[in-house]
Amino acid sequence: MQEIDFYRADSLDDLYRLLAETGGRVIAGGTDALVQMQRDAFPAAVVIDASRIADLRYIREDGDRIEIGALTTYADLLASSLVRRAAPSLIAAAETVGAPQTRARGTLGGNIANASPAGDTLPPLLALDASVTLSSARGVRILPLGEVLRGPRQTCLEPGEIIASIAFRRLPQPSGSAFIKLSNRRGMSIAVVSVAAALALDAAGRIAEGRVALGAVAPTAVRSPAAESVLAGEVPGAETFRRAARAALDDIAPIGDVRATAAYRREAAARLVVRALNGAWEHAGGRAGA
Amino acid sequence: MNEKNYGIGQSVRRVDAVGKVTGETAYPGDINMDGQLWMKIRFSDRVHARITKIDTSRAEAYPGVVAVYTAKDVPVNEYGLIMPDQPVLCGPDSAKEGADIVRCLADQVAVVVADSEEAAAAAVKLIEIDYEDLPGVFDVFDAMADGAPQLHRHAENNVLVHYRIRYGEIDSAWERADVIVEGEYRTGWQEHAYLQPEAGLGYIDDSGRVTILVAGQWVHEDREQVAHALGLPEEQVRIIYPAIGGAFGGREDMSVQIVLALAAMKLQRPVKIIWSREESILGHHKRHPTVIRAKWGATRDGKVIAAEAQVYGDAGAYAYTTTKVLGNANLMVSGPYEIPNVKVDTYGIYTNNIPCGAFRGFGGPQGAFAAEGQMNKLAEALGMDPVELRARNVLREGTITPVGTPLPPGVTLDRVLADGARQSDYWQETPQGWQRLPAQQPANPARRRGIGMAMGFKNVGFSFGAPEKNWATVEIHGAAEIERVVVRQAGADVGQGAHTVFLQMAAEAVGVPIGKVQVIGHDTAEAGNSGSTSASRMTFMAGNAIKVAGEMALQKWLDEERPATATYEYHPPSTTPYDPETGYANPNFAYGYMAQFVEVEVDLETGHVDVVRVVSAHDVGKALNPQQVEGQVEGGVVQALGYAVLENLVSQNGRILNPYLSTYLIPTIWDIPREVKSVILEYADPRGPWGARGMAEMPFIPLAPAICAAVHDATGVWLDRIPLTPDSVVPRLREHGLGVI
Ligand SMILES: Cc1cc2nc3c(=O)[nH]c(=O)nc-3n(C[C@H](O)[C@H](O)[C@H](O)COP(=O)(O)OP(=O)(O)OC[C@H]3O[C@@H](n4cnc5c(N)ncnc54)[C@H](O)[C@@H]3O)c2cc1C
Repeated sequence: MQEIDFYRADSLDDLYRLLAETGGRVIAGGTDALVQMQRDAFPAAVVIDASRIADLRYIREDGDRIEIGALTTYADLLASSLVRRAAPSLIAAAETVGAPQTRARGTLGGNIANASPAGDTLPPLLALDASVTLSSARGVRILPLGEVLRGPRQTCLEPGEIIASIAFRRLPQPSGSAFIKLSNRRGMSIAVVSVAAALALDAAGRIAEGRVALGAVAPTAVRSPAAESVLAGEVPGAETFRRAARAALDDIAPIGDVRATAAYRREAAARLVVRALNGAWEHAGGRAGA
Repeated sequence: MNEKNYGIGQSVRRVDAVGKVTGETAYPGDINMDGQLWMKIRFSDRVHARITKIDTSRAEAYPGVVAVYTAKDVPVNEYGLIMPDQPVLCGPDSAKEGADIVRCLADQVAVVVADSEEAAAAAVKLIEIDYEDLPGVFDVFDAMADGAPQLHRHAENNVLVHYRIRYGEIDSAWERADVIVEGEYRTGWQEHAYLQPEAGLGYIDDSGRVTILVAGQWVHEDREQVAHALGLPEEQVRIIYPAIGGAFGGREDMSVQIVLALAAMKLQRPVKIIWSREESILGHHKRHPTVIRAKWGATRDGKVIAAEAQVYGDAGAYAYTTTKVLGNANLMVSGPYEIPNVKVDTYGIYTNNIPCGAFRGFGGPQGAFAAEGQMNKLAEALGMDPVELRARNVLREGTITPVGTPLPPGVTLDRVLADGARQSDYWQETPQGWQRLPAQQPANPARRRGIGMAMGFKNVGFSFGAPEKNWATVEIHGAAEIERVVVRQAGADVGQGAHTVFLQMAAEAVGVPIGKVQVIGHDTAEAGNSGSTSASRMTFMAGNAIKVAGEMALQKWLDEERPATATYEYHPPSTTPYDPETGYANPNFAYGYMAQFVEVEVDLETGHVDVVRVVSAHDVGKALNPQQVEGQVEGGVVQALGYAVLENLVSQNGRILNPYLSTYLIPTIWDIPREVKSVILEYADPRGPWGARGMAEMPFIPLAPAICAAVHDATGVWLDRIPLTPDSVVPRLREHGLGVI
């Protein structure tokens, strides 16, 4: 383990100043960073602990827009009735992250900034069409999540820039969302494949908008435009969902690793798309389509 | 004396429970001494290479470094539990010829001792090692082929051991068989994943002995190996186990003991080391992966008449206990059945993979995976219930086994099978024999349930002529009445509760409440040789020693001796090794018998196998502490579930790709069966103390084949390869048209 200088920022201004002075890297819960440090895979000589900055830890509702501060932990999400109502897919993801200890420390901002293809909150946030607020001493920019994620452990963040918050809009009713994570083990396990879906239905019960996002099957978590265009305007149900699942395979490029073969990831991804769409449909008040 | 009931048969609370749960108990890594130094080990960077040069100058110059040791510093640079085929440190200029070769990544090359752990860790990376790579071999069949790289002079074509069983007339038997089934079975490596990674503290004790505080399974064997490598008489070495955080066979071989002793001896100062989880996974041996080819035949009336098998076990780079483990696999690959014609060939083969050795079951799980798979397939081919088929073939009192001798007295396979089947709730007895009940199917058509079973036998105690004994002393203190009883017994309490049972045994033998009894053990300076905690033997062996020592001490007490002290060394009936041509042997002096009944739910789409319920039936002879018996059953089932379903050690060209508990997945609370029902049967072993049999490995052994049988019941697909990772299960399901979208 390399030698690292450690600072703690107590406010946002403090954080910007330390970032500028030291050129260091932010850590929040440290649940990714510390593991990486131990394996000499965290390239930073200086780290700045941001976890006490209260201004970055909140869950707010503003009309149909929900905004979550980057330092919000999984435990915070799980305790929020607002998130429970608005985004069951995000709750389902938060529930499956690590163990209670991990959920008490790990943050939403950290999950995004770490940019693992298997990060659990990324598919639900993509399917909620979330945007990310990046801030630095120089100012603020707001980008769709899909543009923030650039590759495995790569984001568009510039030096001195942090993730400040994540926001998404509620879908018009009737609507629903769901997240399904498949791992080799039922607890404490990284996703082999994960899928999130969100559906909004029109007055006739057809799909007004359908969104599908997948994790661990491409260099980043990805939306599936192919699946979404299958869904648009269709009657929800088993047949539609299966077609969407087959289409989703055009948008993924899984690899094989110690967790699973690439072929398995494709097999499983298709089935998870059907299950996630069923879950979203059920949540929207429909019935499961087998 | 037996009737008084001073402890035997009661679920006495573990004497070590409070200390361990509160964190008060000190494990080797928790202990510190004034002036202690820290050690870090440099492992090999190559799977097979000659080390031409080691430059330690940069490491020595690093601030805080006190010493760096390499091969040239080890007095007798070799060790090994069965044979000394591994250098303590690999490198040039060693007293031992050929020690300059590294054969796997678990080889140790150098150690750095420094005044802090951080300095040792930084300096160890500065050691410069020049390697001349040698060709490596990573597959047992490649290793046996002509022209393969040779790992050791004593093993031509890398065959460390080859056992044969030739019994009856196999060639003519096939003609009489109405059905023949063949299978190729594959089992994987398994990591012990005990709670406590390796750690130790070496120092010179008040009597000038090189002393090691460590966790192991046999203090006297550790002492012998340390003394050998250091060129010291055994009396000048002392081994103490303060507390042991799990072992499962993984602490039978040396890890940190010899290098700690070397440094403590040279520096005359305390030296400490703690391995990380990653070092633990990379640095100690694993369960042997095997490939087993089997062909069995039976007649239409359900009599198995022929069994043929070839077992190929990957020993890895050094012998460890391979010869013994594969000796067991050789015996158990034809199952606990009376089969008149048997032919088995078992090979232990060196490769440049991680060494393999002892792990709960010790060759039994691999043998049973093939044997029970064959039985289940024969049952299907015959259209016969799998319990019924076994009932017609199990070994009974006096029947001759394929090694030409009967099992020792007290054979209860038939009763374990019947009692277990009855209490499983999955089988019923009908006038036509045993019948499996259909599984209740879930509403979701993507999921299917199934029920399966398997059974087995496992030796208790050392096999095949290995010297076997256990030493105990009981001291009775007090003047007018017995105030205090001390048991000296070195047998290792690896977390299974041995010390508690030792107390119960002494209390019963002397006739005092257990509160008056104290155990002194885990220290070569305080007790005689008890052999290892392995082979399900410690309760059986220590019980026989403590019982007699206690009764002798009581007699002396009654004869007015104060204090009254008696020592007894128990020697069980002797055993014999395999005949090299026929396999004829009297392999073991005691056995445990078991049968397991399993319900699984298979997700046809994702290939996930969920083990819902397990009924595990065991003849334990006498449950000396029923709660601890249940603990062993439940723990064994969970560990075997990991082996069968989850635990997938991935090794590529000798390099383990997942040396972390985040990628090598052991079961969590969410993965274990919703119910494990222990069926504890007490058919006394005539040789066991108070009738007890060993039982700790038994719950592990039949689970994998029972799970595969249940998967077959659910899906109609035979899976002959474990672990049942979803990505290996799905292609097999799809071949049968299951889970297709
Ligand atoms: C035992 C265990 C189990 C886990 N299980 C899961 C799991 O099931 N699913 C899953 O998705 N993850 C899992 N993780 C990973 C981890 O917990 C999550 O990714 C978590 O969300 C990371 O958040 P953090 O606050 O701890 O990030 P940190 O470790 O503090 O930081 C992670 C990275 O993000 C950067 N960073 C953090 N916050 C910001 C910010 N506001 N702005 C800019 N950069 C920032 C850091 O520089 C660092 O590069 C697990 C980790 C552990 C240790």
